Amino acid sequence: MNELVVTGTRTKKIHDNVPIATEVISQDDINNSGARNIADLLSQRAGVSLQTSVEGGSVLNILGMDSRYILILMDGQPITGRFNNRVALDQILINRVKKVEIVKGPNSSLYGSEAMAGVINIITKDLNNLELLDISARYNNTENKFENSGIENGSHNISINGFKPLNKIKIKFNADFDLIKNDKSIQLIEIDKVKKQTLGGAIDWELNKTQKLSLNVQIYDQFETGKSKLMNTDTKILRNNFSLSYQSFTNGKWNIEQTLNSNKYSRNYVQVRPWGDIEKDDTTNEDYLEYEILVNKKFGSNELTAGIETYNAIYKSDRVLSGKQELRNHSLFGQYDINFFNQLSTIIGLRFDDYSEYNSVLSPRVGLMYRFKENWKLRTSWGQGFRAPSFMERFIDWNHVQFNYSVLGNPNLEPEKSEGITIGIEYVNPSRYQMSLMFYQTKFINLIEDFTIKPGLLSYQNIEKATFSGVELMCQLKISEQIDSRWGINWVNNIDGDNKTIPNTIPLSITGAANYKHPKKSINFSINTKWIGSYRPQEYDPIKGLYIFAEKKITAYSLIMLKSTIKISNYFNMSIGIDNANNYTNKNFGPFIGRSAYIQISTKLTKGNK
Amino acid sequence: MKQILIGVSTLMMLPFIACEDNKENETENSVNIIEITTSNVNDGSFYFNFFEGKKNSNSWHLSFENLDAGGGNYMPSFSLKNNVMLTIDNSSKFEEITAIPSTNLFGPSNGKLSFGGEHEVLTYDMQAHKISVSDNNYIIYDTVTYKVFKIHFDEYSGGVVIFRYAELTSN
Repeated sequence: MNELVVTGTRTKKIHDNVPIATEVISQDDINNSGARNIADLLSQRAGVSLQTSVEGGSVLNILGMDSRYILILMDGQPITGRFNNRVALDQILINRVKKVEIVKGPNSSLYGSEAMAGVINIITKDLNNLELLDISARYNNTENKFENSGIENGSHNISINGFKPLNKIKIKFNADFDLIKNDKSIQLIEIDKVKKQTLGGAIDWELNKTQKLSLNVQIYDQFETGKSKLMNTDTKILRNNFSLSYQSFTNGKWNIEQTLNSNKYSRNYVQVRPWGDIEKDDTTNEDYLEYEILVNKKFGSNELTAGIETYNAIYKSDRVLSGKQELRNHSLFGQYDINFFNQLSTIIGLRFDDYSEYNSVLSPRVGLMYRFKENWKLRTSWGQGFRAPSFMERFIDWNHVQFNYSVLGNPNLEPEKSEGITIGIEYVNPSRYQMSLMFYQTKFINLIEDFTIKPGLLSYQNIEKATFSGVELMCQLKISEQIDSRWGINWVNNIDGDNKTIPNTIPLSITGAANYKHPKKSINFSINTKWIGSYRPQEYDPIKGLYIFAEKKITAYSLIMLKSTIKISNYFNMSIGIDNANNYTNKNFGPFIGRSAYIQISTKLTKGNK
Repeated sequence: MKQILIGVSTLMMLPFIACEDNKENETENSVNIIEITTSNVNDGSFYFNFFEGKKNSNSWHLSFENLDAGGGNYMPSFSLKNNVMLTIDNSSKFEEITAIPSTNLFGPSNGKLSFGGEHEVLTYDMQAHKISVSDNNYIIYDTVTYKVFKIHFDEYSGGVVIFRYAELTSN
């Protein structure tokens, strides 16, 4: 509870004191979850679900909101490369993630476009003074009959993370190899084999007491193949991220950080008939170059944060009207954090974004935290957010071969805008438990939706209004030295301007987790459960071009994840786990795959002091 | 150190250790099953004559064409000719069907295989947003030649379908 969080304010603040409500998925939560990637991890939370998309692929729905309205960051920087306007969270493997911070409500005053309904910041493990080599290998299989399938099928992962401090230079490196073969999780989308590999490195160089240089490089490759009697498919995804940051501190305690970010993304999708006819050969390339200067200064207990960002994004796609589009943005933002006697903390922020292609946008935000008793806190925030229309929404020119319809972009789309409030109350007993209750409501205008212009021709338009409301109750409880637990209840009510429920809204979900550590033996046991209340789903009718309510309700169901970790020697830990232990599936609305099991062996060799 | 090396080696080998293969029992076929791959329906309609065992747009039993399903959307769809009767037999696996069903089980086939029909072959999956293939075993009876055929549709991809068929005889 007293750890540092950064996402809500872009400055390091103690979690307990930050005016903007921030949910943290800690390293322990990640270790106990058994998740393989960020999509798996978030899916275990209340109010988060995975849905299939009309445009293909799966969509992470957070608090009933499509993930395109949530800005996804990695170490504070945006992730480039979207498939159907969304970041593929299953491409971010969990092994090098230290924690995940989730800020709900509009946050465009700090982050600009996309932070309409919230921000998720994936924070990777730190450099520190510890010399460390961390290796883990994991095998996962979603087949039900393990004795027959053979472990050449399933998911195989090797992950290597290392830190090496050398006087003033600290080096970090990471490598992840993921091979998924003939596993239900990919067979579902008609793929036989997926290879994912990440290679990365970072250097932190303390030039002197007032200057620091940081370099971070990550290279991600993904290859997917699918073979059938009628069609062979190949997908190649490449993502290279390069970041150079220079930080300086002046005598007046000004902290200035300049960052240059270069991201390159490409995706090539080929469909070839087994007899050689090429049905499709689509390539998408995205280049993103950003320069940012962030200034921070403390004035007693108050703090000023201001910055300038400028970026240039180039998008090339065989599905885009002229083949290539370019967008430039310049933005200026500022935020002032005022503290009164450690009892009242307020934050006021404003951001101005100027785009080369459409109107400029102003995004304000105000946050307040009031400590009205020793352990009680009230947090509230109001803000406005926006999302600039994507290249695809503006310029797509694509014929859907299978259903003989075309999708044509709308270059006149206006940015989607949102205005939201959060009000929460929190009780913290540092040694025993923490409980928070939060209400949030976000109103959207100019939402971008697809619609039918004329038979066989679809496009996008700005529609009027939608309101997303919800209540979230979360609790962490330390029952004893050996047992701790966490649970959450999430209720959402998402309606459009005609008071109709927005598709993919799951009104009620409850999560619970418990973790037991044996007092003497090095054995740890975790259980994570998620209960989804009954609801009537909506189905997309391709003929009407509308979502319609399904005939039958989905009855309430639960998902159970079990994990146990045993220390098998001074150097090795072994974990075994079962996901979806009660083998629940729903062939129409998911989860589509049933029970899966995994085994993981990991070693951590350390030297030095933390 | 030895312990570390053994452990690391085991760890690195773990994902590559193989187990026994999954082998399914093969079913003996007592009738000659023929596999057909249609042409791409988006390039033009496909007509098949089971008696001749080949494409024939003049004399056909089964057609595969894009039909207007409303709203300007064209759906790939199968149809049987008017002189062809239909029954469904899902009581056995396709390969195991060898006998001709009782004639009173056959009924008119009009529209039943088409998109939206009672036994549609190709279904639009509203959740996965793709076209899936029915697992029905279709038995057809040609009232002109008095021949009976069993048909199973196996796969659909981008306008092309694979199906298997065999003639059923009273022997």
